[in-house]
Amino acid sequence: MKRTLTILSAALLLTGFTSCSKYLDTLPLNDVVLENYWTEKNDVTSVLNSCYESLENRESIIRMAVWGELRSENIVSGTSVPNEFADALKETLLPASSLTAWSIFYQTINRCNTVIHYAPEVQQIDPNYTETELRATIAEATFIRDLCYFYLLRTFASVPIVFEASISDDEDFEVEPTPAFIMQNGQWVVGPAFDILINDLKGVEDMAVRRYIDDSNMSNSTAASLATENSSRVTRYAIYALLAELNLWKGDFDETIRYCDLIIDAKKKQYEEKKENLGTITDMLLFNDIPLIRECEEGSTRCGNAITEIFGRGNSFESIFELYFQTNQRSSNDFINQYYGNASNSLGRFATPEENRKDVITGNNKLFSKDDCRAYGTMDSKTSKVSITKYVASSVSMSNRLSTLSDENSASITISRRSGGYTNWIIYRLTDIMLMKAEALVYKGEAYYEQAFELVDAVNRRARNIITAGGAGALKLTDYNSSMTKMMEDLVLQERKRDLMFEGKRWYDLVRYSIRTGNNSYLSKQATVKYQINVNSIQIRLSNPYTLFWPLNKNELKLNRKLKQNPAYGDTEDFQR
Amino acid sequence: MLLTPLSALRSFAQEADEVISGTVSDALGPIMQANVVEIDNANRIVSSTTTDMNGNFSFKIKNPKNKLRFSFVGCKPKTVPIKGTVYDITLDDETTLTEVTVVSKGRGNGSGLAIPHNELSTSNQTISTKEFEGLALTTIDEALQGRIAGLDIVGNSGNLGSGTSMRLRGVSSINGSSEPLIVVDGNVWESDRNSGIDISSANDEKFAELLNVNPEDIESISVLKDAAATAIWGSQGANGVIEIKLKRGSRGKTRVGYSYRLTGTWQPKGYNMLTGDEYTMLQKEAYFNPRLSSGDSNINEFNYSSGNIGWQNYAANTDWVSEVQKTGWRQNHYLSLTGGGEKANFRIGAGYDHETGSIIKQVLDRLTSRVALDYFVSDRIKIITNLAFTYTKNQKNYNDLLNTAYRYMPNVPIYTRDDNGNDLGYYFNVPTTVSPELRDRVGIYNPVAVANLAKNEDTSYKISPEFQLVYNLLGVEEGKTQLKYEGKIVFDIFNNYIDTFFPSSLNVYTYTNANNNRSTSYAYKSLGITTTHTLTFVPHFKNEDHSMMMMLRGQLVDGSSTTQKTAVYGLPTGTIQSTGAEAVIGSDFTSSEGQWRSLYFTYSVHYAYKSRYMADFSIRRDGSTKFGPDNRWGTFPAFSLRWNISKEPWVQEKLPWLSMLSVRPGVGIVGTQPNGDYLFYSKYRNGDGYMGGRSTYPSNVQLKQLKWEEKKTWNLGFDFGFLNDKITGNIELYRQYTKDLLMQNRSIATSSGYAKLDYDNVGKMENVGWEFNINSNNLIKFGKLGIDLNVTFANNRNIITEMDETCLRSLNDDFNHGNGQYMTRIEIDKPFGAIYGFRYKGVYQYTDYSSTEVPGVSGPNAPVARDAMGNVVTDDKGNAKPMTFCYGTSSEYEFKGGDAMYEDINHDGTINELDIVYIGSSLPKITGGFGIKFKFGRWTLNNQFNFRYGNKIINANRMNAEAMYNNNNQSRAVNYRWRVEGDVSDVPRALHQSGYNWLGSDRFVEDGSFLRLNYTQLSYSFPTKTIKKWGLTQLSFHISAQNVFCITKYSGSDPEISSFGYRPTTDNSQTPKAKSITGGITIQF
Repeated sequence: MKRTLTILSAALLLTGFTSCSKYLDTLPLNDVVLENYWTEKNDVTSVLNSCYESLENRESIIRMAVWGELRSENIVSGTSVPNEFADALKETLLPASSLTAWSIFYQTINRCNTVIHYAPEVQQIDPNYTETELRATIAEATFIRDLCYFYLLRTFASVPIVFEASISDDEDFEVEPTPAFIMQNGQWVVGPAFDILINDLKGVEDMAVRRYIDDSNMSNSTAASLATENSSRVTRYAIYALLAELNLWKGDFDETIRYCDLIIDAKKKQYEEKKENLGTITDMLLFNDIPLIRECEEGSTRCGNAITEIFGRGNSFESIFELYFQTNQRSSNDFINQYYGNASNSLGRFATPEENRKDVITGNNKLFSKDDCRAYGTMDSKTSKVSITKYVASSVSMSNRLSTLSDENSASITISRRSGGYTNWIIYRLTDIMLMKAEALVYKGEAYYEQAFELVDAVNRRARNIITAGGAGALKLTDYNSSMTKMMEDLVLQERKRDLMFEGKRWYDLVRYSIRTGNNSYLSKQATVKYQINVNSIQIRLSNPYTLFWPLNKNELKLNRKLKQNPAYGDTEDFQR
Repeated sequence: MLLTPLSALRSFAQEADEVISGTVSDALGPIMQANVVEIDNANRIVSSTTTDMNGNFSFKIKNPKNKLRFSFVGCKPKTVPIKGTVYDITLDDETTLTEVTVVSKGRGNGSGLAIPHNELSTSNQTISTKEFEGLALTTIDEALQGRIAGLDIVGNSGNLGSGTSMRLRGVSSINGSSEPLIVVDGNVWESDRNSGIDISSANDEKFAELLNVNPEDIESISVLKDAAATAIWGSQGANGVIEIKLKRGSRGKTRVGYSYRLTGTWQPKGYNMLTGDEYTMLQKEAYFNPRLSSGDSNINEFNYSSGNIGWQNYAANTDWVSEVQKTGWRQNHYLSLTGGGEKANFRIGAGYDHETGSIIKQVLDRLTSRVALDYFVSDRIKIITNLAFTYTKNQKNYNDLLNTAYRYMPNVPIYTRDDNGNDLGYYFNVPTTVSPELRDRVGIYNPVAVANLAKNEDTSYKISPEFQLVYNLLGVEEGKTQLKYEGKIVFDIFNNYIDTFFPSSLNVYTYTNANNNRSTSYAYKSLGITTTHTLTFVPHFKNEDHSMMMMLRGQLVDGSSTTQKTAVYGLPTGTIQSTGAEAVIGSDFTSSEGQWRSLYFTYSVHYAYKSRYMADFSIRRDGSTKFGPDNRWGTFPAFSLRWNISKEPWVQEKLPWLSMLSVRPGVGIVGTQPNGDYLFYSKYRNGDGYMGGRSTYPSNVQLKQLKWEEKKTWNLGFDFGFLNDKITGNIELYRQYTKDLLMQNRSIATSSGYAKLDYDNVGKMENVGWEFNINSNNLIKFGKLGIDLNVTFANNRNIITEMDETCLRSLNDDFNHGNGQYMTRIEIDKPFGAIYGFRYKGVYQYTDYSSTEVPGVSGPNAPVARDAMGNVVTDDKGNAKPMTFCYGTSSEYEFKGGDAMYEDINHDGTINELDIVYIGSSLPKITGGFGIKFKFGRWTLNNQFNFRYGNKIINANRMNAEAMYNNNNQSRAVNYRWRVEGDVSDVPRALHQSGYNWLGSDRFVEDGSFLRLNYTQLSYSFPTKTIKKWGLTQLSFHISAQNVFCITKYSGSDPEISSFGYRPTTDNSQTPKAKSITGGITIQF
């Protein structure tokens, strides 16, 4: 008894007088904490991967597509479209709508900021993590965050720009927004935000990897499955593409052209390499000296190859940056699945107006000529409304004699829709770059029209499977009265519309054009062709320059007092007792 | 001491080993079996013997310096020095003590200092369980209902094994826990200290902790209310403390007690629901009305057309509510053994409860046992051990059956029928082939089938061994300076297992569905170790007018837990229900670990002068792992005074009837810490990866700034007692200031990359209230008849006085144009729980307006815009402008006849957010209870009432039962709905998934005032004389009824709804409190 007592009291005393503060230092048992993180290369690559993961989050892709395209004439409601989307499709944009919530982009941005903050520290500790690798990491993270800011600025005109990682609660979370556009005398003028992003990217433009996997001796189909990193991770060319577009919005056309050329030249070189190593390449051809994937592979009687390679298979030769889903088992591109359609529901929540697809085969469609594969491959008129098949179809094919046909049945169009959401989401691809350059050239003046035309013509001929320049039915520069800038501008915009339809670009094109021309008349005419009712009142609403941008989310306004609501959407703090 | 040189002993007359002898007798003669012991000067027993039949004894002494002690049950022990060899001892009967004035005082505050009751300067209230003896209580909180002023106790639900939610002095936190701390014999009582559970979403189990204490084991309960009283519990006691003192053994003959109770329980009457035929009729209208289209309402299942295969399965009239209800039975057995002797006291208690619920297929078994042992090594050293064990097996329903029963389609049968209406012997569940309109019914499972086929078993074990050492370092007797050391170690072992099984026979989907033969098992294990060291110092002053005591205590808590969860589905057969079985389609395994530590020091001192002027001071330092190194320690002081006015000589002289009058001012600070752990770490979690590569991301903002929430309470208490304490009572007035309010999931601008901070200090809050409590002691005595009363009242108001602007804005909802939404508003200087909504004005009689009624066609009561004077607003063509809902928005809707009419407060011709007004407060104006006790000879009749007055409740339950908006069954009130033009009704028309007939309005806000007869009990105890013949010391019977009646205007089944945080009180169809009747017997021998 006595011994037990002694032991007991000794135990009591010992436990009682252990060091107090140390005793209270407990670490989470289920998570890694900052204090133990950022020690080796793997830690950096893991967080960098989470930047991509966040960028391809369903909410993120929905917004890239919705902000960039939904308000344009390309999208109408399909089947069982959720209320918030239905409202937006009626041009009823509500500050309370979750479509205006931007948090997913800032989540991505903050992860990028975190990588940029901590990666240099890791490089100091881990000898396996080289200076070159560090520079490449920082370039990747910088691209992703600036891409996110670019989306936000194009949508809201002015947003908080934060380049510092949020780590602890001693920071001020209410950040002043930086404008990309400022309203002066009823006109939008370029604000400081673009230069901030351009400078940020210029700092890293030569740090990124050119190519992760050497695909110079791979056929296009092999490269699409083995060299996916080259287009699904950030490369130097992705950075050039973003710089080209930023400069296009800012209005620095020489820079746009310079960056576009860097990409086009690299693609040319890549094509030469391939040709040297593989001998003949049956699925590609030079269109006006630019290598593009052929719609009709050499020796085949079927068109649709380019659409299949670019959107069906993904990671094509023409791709510059796209988000990867193809064999991803843990996250799927539900946006495409739900909103554009899938194997079991061919009509998704979104559809496209009949005007885009009607009478193509008879040659009476205003947008597409009768031999344009894009009309048949990226839309399907067999559903109750015209459904979107771009991205949805894993492969498409149709007759290569479209120009001679008079009805669609003989075109024998086959569209195989995917059941799961394993479609990549393309952010930049070669024809986008070509048309950006064309746009910049047009704005530079008449002297550059011919160069611009050649680019548009290349894109157009590829889609219509016209092999030779000036071949039967091809566009003619003389049709676009060279003295009329408006017609050239229209040519480029229409080709962008045809080629980049449903890729989250059209609304931004209209916004850019409206800002450049200083009025919304083109936009309000174009964007409203899809409406049957209330057309007038929507046109009037859209003539207000503020409506180019979306309202800020109500919750964000509550939480950041430095934000000001877009005046087009009023002050909605109207609740009173 | 044992090594005293032998030479010293020689000088005495007696020597070691010498034999002494003698006789022990009492007033009646020699005593057999009396104890004779030799004790040394530390009062340790050296040797002992007992007397023989003639009261004689003899034995060898060990040391002549020692003393002899003689003792016998029922007699006063006697101690004599060893002198001589023959002793003739006469023991005095203990009962003769009556002549001696009892000087020992009632002591309170068991966990801190043993301060006499009439010297306590803090606010607390104590109840002895003697008052509840014989009641059919499963938990002690039920008994406290309405007895403690300022303690509002609300039953969470009537499901077996669910506990109660308690609020002491209202809510003083935004969304942290508001439950008071429960302390059992000085140990904090919590099953799981690591839970980061948000209280507002916590399930029943969270509140059921008191269930692990058997009420029969409890001796008394004290409720510590003000900060001066709870300060020694520091952060844990911020919501008040309920201290429970358990029974212990006492010296004497071993006594055996046994009690048995049998209780019948049943559910109170809820809403009457529609029969199958009424339901079918309603649904046909609901589908027809929105577009006035008979195509819309042409749904096979509502057509009774015998041509359709299986039509009989939609032609039944099933009362699902009565199908799932039954009479529940509860049996409680309790056996106790108490006794003690020279060296040790013991008490062994064991209880076994078996309970079947008032909802079918609920069975609960509980086994509790507690062993308390006090071992006296000497009168300086005492060892105390407690061993408590609780085993609970709760066979629950797989889901909330009553809730399903209220919603389930009444036109479907329990068992599948063939086309002739014969039962086929297997349960009916709505198949996936049902008409598209009823697809949402698929997957709501037949409640009777779920009860019988699915399994949900919750088993838990709680073992808490406790060891304590008490050492009197200085004087042992009163009147000497005392210094006492207490060391205590408590282990708390808690294991919880939940096993569920959902058989394929209930599954209506394909075999790959995750609910097909799904088996889950959940295991939780935790071990907590608490060590406490206490030093108590009681100096003795020569001038006995002064008295003082002080205490220093340090405590260390260390605990860890692990959780494992396994789920598999697609098991081959329903007979194999193990999660370890083979051939499964899918499985899921998760596990997590937790850890918690805390450390505190506390010092308290009590000083009294002449028992008239008292002062108390205490200070506590708390260390928590929940804060970063900078804010880790919190310091919580408290100071209080008491002046016993009635003890002043001039009062005693002039007002002899005033037995007690005192005033007690006090102030104290307590702190609250957040629920979550590791908040000041930036945690990195694993993501889904990109392109096959692993991904990790930072998941939260590090909370470096987070501080303790501090609550300062000013309390002013008055105690009074009249006519020698025939009537006693107290009044408490208090004001609490909470600063650095902790707010969970505080939203921040998402440009930070995060949507929220896990916690933040956001503002200040104030609570003001008063409490009144009065008790009587033999108030009226009239021959054999005695009457006693107790009454409590309390009131509490809380307001936010300061709050971070962005936080305040983010807490306030926006009107989302949806039905059924009540807005939460928090405003500076306004109380919590305010209800906002529209004003309901009835139902539009006609769609078309005409100034005079054209019966069946049009009338003045039609949806048209009216100006402030009540005149109809017309357009330029003279047509009445229609009344709309949210004009100009995507939710715009033109009201029609039969639609709900809302008051257009601003007369703008549209009902929108500008027409939302304040409807009422969910805070009661007054809460309390009263009891009346009659005694007639050996009969006792005890009645206890509790009440609340002046609070409003959102009856969401009724709202859902009258909305006529979806396929759920509705209450029979909707039979009075508007059906055709011209109908005058208070209930709008049925509109399936359209219209705005059930906007959050005062239509569903009801007065929650009630008066409930909580229990009434009649008991009889047999006279001692009679039962002594049977060898018993006590025999009593009782019969009681709980929840006897409830006087209320509230239309729901139970107006006692708990409220959480700042949101208004909402009745969401919890299983109401069951009614019950109990009979019981208690035997002791």
